[in-house]
Amino acid sequence: MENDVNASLLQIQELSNKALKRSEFAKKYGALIVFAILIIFNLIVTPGFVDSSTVWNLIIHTTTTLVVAMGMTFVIATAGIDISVGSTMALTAVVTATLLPMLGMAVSIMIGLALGAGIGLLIGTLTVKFKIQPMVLTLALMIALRSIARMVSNAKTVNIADEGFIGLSVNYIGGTVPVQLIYVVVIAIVFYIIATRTVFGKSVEAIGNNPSAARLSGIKADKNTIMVYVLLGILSALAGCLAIARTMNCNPSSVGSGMEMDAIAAVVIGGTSMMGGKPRILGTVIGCFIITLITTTVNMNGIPSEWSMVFKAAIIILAVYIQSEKKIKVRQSKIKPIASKEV
Amino acid sequence: MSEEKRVLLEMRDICKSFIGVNALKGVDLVVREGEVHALEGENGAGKSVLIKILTGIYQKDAGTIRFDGKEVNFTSPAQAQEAGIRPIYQELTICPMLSVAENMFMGNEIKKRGLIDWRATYKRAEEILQSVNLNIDVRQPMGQLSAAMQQMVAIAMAVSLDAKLIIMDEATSSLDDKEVQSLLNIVKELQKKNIAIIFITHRMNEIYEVCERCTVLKDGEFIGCYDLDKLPKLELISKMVGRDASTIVNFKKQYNSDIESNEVICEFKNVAQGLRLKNIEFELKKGEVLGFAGLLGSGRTETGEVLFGIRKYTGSITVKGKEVHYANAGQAMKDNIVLCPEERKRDAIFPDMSIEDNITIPIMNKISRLGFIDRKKQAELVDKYIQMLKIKTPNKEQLIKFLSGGNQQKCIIARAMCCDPEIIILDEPTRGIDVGAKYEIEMLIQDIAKSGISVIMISSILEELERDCDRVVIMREGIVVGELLHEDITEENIIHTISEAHTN
Repeated sequence: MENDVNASLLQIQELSNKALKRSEFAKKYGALIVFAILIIFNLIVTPGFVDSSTVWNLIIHTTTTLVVAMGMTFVIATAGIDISVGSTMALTAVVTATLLPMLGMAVSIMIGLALGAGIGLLIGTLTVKFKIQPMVLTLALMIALRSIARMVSNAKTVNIADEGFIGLSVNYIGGTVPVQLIYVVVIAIVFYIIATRTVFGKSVEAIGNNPSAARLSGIKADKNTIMVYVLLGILSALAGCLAIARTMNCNPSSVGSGMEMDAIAAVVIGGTSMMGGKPRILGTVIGCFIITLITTTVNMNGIPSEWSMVFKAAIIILAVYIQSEKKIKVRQSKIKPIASKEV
Repeated sequence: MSEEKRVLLEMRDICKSFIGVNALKGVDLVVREGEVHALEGENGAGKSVLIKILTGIYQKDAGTIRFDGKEVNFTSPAQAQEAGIRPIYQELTICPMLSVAENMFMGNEIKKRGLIDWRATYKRAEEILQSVNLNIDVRQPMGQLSAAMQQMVAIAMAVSLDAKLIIMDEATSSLDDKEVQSLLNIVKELQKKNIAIIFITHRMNEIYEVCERCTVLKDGEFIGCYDLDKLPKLELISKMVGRDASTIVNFKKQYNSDIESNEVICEFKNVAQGLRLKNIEFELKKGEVLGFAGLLGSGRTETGEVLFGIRKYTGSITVKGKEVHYANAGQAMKDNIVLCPEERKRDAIFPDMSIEDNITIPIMNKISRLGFIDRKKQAELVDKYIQMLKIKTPNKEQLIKFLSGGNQQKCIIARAMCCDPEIIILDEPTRGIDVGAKYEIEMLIQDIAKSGISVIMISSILEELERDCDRVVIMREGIVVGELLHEDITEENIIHTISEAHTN
């Protein structure tokens, strides 16, 4: 890349800027394009899609994934991964649900969040200080934490009766607008600001972009990387609370199951590189909506739900293909010969 | 004598444009058999584009190419290689974990009954390397070889494949003097075998050592083709930069002897580390430019790293009167010590981040409130340094990877400057930078020192040390073997000190 630029500094710089803009465009708007295609498809095909309830359902079903995916975006931006998020949700949720009748809402939620933070701290520390591959480590934890969650409730479903707690997820503003709308908007704005305007966000980006240079620039890479996992742990616990408040019971075997895949897929669709780098929060937000929209599309068209997984896979591949570098190169080489003929 | 040689490559009136912008405007390049031909010009002059047209990566818009008596028009690198044109790039594409032999025969394996014949592979690999006087174990991983050795393996491979023309694009830029010498010796060997070489380098001395003729490009235009024995170095540089170069080359620091009586800001005593550093002792004074000279492996870079807190050591380091023990870069930076590392791409650049972020990354904590970056302050700082260091960029949001090497280096120096440093360690500050930008960076070093900052300048280019330093500390195998002051700093004296230490 660098050689090309040197070849003819200003001229080629312009050219690269165009390529850059194209690549940035694909990364920024790739997810949006796929989202738009899905919406248009539904508008034409799906009966009863044009209804405010569709929008509210979409938002309600997206919220938990969104909460987890925000944290996952930062983890992936440091070139890390955490596939234990679903099990973390289950464990923290079952602990919160069990403590709820005894300690009340505020305290039991706090304990759940603290437990999530503790799990994140464990993953972060083992990854950074003991150099254990996060993929392998969180795979092991995914299995272990789910089992512990079952042990906590003797594999039984815990019912939730606390009105206030249920109100976290089952609450309609003015009778129609779900409270989740507020969560989604606030979370998207808060994490967008964290990613683009804070020292933490920029440090994460720097660590993912070039770890060696980050170390030599005095960025506390270890501390920031651990922080990222702690953040994800807390967000997973929060997602666990929102999930069980909506279902009004907590089944440790099913809470958060499959969440790791949805969250990672949303991040990747959103344009954050698995190799680390820029955390693309708005991309992840759209990625989450795409994931939910696929399920909605399948359900509303009466397609057997088994197919929803297949469609999810296809959409993920499509979204990632739109953003791939290869696509850009193909376009470039198409442009060059045309330009040279003109001269 | 050279007139008798047959013309091997004749490129005439080559034009190339990208989306309406002319990158090459009628360039000629004529190379004879067995000739070492330098291709020179500043960054952006069109050297790389010309080479890419020759090797089939780009297609020319106009002009003719005759190679080995036939008119050719390569449409892919494979075709050019087939014809005997072998480029050897600055950053070799190797698989570091595979053995030397595997790397050499990749995609071209010697097979017996469909399986790789390892015995024959190793034997052939050894033969090829011996043909250029290389005696190394071909079974060891490629990554264990030094950069120079890797280059030589690549050259040997090219020779074995009946190369008629070898292109060395910045092949020496990451090598130290000794390695460069052995590489240049191989170039001379190739010449005897009647292989032509196009030699691209930013180092003027190398051109005069091995090349016979030189083609100069500027801004995509053909300036001329010259016999080097009739063209003094100064004129060559003048032609490259398009203005009188005497100010650049004849620049010599104005010594200010007051600096010698300045307070000592940093002192090393008995500093040692493993096998790399055995006994490093020196003093750094306020506002001086202190050079570190020595061959690769002499401990120059390691000494800088020790001071910056990223390398463990024993011994005592005093900074601003108190003994320090930095455990990481952050602690050193708190004492206002900054380092611009040698491997810019590997250790300094955040390629996918903006210039703005790249410059201010170490001081984000200082320009933020409650963790939120003060964007106004950030923009002011960045604007100031873009102006001060004359960084050429359309805007400060530009990703740094799209800047030229010289401008990237300026950004890294700007990053160091915005930390308000008292000591700046510059490790090979002019590596991979063209002549014009090199001069600007050297001037910048003088300005930095004048403002009262102490500069440690690590360089393998002795001329640079001669031009820029108040004092030079000379190292050999982890020991300080000498020190030169003011007018005594000359290339000869430095080399003399190093070799004298060797005989002792």
